[in-house]
Amino acid sequence: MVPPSAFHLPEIRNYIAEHLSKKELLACCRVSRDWHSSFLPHLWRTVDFSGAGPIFSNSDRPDPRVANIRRLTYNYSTFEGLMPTQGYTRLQELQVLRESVVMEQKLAQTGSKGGCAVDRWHLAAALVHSLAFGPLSSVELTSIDKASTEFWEALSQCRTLKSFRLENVCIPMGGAGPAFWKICRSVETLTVILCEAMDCLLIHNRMFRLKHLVVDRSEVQGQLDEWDKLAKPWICSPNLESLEYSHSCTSNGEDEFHQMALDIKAAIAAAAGGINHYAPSSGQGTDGDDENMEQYSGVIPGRKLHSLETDNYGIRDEDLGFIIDNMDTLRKLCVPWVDLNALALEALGRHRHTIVELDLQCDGINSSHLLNTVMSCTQLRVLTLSNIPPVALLESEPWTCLQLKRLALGFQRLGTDMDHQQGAKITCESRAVWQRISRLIELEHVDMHRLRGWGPGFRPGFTLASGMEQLSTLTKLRCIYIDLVKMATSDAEWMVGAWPRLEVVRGQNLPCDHARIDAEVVKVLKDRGILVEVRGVDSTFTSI
Amino acid sequence: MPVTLTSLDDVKFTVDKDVAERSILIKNMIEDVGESDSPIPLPNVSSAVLKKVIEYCEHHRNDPVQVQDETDDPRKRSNDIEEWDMKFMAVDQEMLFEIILAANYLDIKPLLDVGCKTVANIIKGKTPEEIRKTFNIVNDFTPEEEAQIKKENEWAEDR
Repeated sequence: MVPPSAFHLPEIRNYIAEHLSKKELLACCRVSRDWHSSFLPHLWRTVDFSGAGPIFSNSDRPDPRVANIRRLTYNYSTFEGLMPTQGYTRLQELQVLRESVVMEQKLAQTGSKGGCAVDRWHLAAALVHSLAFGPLSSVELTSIDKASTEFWEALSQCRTLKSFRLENVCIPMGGAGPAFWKICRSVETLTVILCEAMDCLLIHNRMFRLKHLVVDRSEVQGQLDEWDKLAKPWICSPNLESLEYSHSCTSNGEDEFHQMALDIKAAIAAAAGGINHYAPSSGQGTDGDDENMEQYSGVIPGRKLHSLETDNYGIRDEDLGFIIDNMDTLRKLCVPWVDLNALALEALGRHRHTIVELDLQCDGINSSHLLNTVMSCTQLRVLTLSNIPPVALLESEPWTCLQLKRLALGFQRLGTDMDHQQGAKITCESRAVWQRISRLIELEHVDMHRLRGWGPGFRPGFTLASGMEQLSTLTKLRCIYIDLVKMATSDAEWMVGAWPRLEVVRGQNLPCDHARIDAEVVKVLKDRGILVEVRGVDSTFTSI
Repeated sequence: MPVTLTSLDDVKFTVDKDVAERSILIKNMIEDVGESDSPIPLPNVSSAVLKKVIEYCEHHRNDPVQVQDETDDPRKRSNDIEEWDMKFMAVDQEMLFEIILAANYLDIKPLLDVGCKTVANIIKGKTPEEIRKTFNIVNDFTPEEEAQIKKENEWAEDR
């Protein structure tokens, strides 16, 4: 009979071994010397050092069999006898667990334990210590209430650890705290389930390599305001890609549950080292704002991401700076409801040669700085900037965002009686606006009506009297949204002459009779085939 | 476009390209050489085995490409074999091993898997002596060695 040749190839034996249970592997080991050498490593691939585990005669002597172990389970409760602490040269996964206390007591009562004198944590530490320079990449700890400092310190020597799972573990805070935090330095995937003092882990650890974080039903003991201060350390997880956060609570009680959860998320978001999708649950009455604060979702970028868009209050003002500061490249930032703080502005400046699209608002203090930064973004194509104080505009440096194609600006109002008392000022400021815009010769869309709920603001007059003739450089203009009310027929005639590609002119009728768009102006435009649209109360445009 | 395969005993098989490309080896060959009318020689596979392999590939021509990650972890593997494959594998032992070798050589992972599962199922529930008998293997252990192995690995008995 022909010998089964397929069994001669080691890789075929390996494939077959993968489909066999321990019992079957053992049978194969006993078939012949040849089979023994092939199947023994598979038999020892995963080993559980508990009562039913392998028996060793002398734990000090290196046993060649342990070199086959890839996954090792060390059951703290049921372990008895001897365990080699050396020679685990191939171990990749370590699972340390403990049965329930009840189980331990039961075992003690039945007297089945001979190994009670064994200091099991000492053994575990010795074992882990020997793994420090091996390929150990995954550690799971289950039901560990107080492991020895020695154990944590041994574990902290393992530099190759990538996956760290903690379930029902008391995270050490005191003596073993530093060792514990050190463990997490190399970790890429951290899973925390049913753990206490979870905040301690989050705060002190600087997990530079963390990519995936799962926090489930774990307890936070920190105080609410602490989190604001502690948001910063998260910046040290610059590679975070995913975050799952669920059912964790604070020891302060149910009332603060939601707020705490939100704050932790915000702290994590502040790190934003790469969370590429971040969808917080509903915010509850932040700032007591009446705005619709239903489900909102945002995308928070990290180093590897480059676009960030949120509706309404998707990000806290103070987080935004950390987030964009943390990004390698910023291309698109649309956060029209967020105030940019100093860090955010500084970060924005750093990114000014990569930014393509912006939608921002000015706040009182930093407006000039913001305007100068934004207008120096050399690659900028689309810009929406609202709530600009006219004075900031007058002070702004020459604009160098020469690639800009779409521009929408909204200005703060000047004062209550601006139309009558400040006519000269408007003319002056309009000239300043036009002068700056005139350099942006790639512009195709211009919208000077970008207002966001603060009532009528300053609108530069699209009239020759206000210096509009400076805009004759914008030969690529196709669509403008301007204050048509102030416009005279001579202005309209100039426009159609200066801008050969003009297709759409948009305006807005004011509620009072004397502030209607001049029918003659409309006629001039329409005669040249230009679509004239007015904005209705529902923010849609209809042609007239 | 059809592809012609030549077996060890110089028998030519013409199959559709997508069927032939279930074999990663052939797929890479076609990619390297480009479209060509000349037959692809498979000097390690006999016509009897190649016929079986082509039968398998034709049946599974529309299967999605296996994702490596899912099968990487041996603990997640199951020994379930679908009915068609089971019938397909109901061959004598010599043919079974020939198919496994061919699947390995031609790099057809799903076929290799099914073959190895079939062998594993043959091993299941058998004592060492029964395994030796089944696969015609000589026991070269001394009685002492045998006892030693049994003792050292006792912990695995009930698993």
